[in-house]
Amino acid sequence: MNQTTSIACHTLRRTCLPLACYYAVTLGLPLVNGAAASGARFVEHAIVVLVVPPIVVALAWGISVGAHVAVRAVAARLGTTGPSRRPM
Amino acid sequence: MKAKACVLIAATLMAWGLKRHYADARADDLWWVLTPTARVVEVMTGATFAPVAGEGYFERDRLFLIEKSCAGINFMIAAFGMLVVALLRHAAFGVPAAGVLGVSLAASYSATVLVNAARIAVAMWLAVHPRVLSTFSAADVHRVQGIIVYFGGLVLVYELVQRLDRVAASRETRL
Repeated sequence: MNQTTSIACHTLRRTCLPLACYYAVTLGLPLVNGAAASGARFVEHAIVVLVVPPIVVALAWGISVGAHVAVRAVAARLGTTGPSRRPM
Repeated sequence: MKAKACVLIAATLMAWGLKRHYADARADDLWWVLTPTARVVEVMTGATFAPVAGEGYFERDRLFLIEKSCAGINFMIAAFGMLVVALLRHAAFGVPAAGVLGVSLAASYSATVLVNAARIAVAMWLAVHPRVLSTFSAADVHRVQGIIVYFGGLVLVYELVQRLDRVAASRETRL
C-alpha cells in the first residue's frame, strides 16, 4: 500500500464515526420526526449537509498528503530517509 | 456484551431525553448551556452579552442574539453518541458503564460550549466582514460555516478522546 492510500485510509478511519454521528443527528433525526414532508426545503438542507463534510474530509486529506510529500522532499534534500517516528 | 447493550440503551434514552427537553424548552430553560456559551464567546470576541428574558443573550453593539436555536443541543447529542460508541469497549456492569456515560456526557457538554462558542465567534466575525464571501447569501454562509465548525468539532473531539484513550492504555500496560 503506498503512502497516499495509507493516509486516505487513516483519514477515513478517523472521520467515519464523527461523520456517521453527524449525519444521524442532522439527517436521521429530522427524517424520523417527519421533516421529509417539508419537501424541497429538506432536500436542499440534506444536499448541503451531505456534501460539505466529505469536502472538508477531502481537503484535510489533501493537506495531509501535501504536508507528507513536502516533508519527504525536504528530508530527501537534507539526505535523511524522511519523517521518522520515535519508537513507542 | 450485556453491559454494552445496557450502555447503548441508556445512552439512547439520555439522548432522547435531551432532545425532548430541547424541543419543549424556552431560551430561559437552556441557561445551563447558553450562559457558559455566551461567556466563552465574550472571552473570544471581547463582546458583552446581556441576558434578555425569554430571548437568550443579546449583544447591543453588533445586534447579535444567542437564542435557543444557537444552543448547540444537536451537536451535544451527536458528540455524546459518538463518545459513547468510542468508549464502549470500556463498558462493564457497574461503575465502568456509568463512567462511560458520565465521561461522555461531561465531555460532550464541554465540547458543545467550546465548539458552539467558536461557531458563534466566527459567525460574528463574518457578520462584520460580509465581503469575505460576498458571492453567497448570508444564510448560506451561516449554514455552511455551521456544518464545517460542528463537523470539524466532532472530528477533533473524537481524535482527542482516541489519543487520551491510547495514552491511558499504554500506562495500564506499563503498570
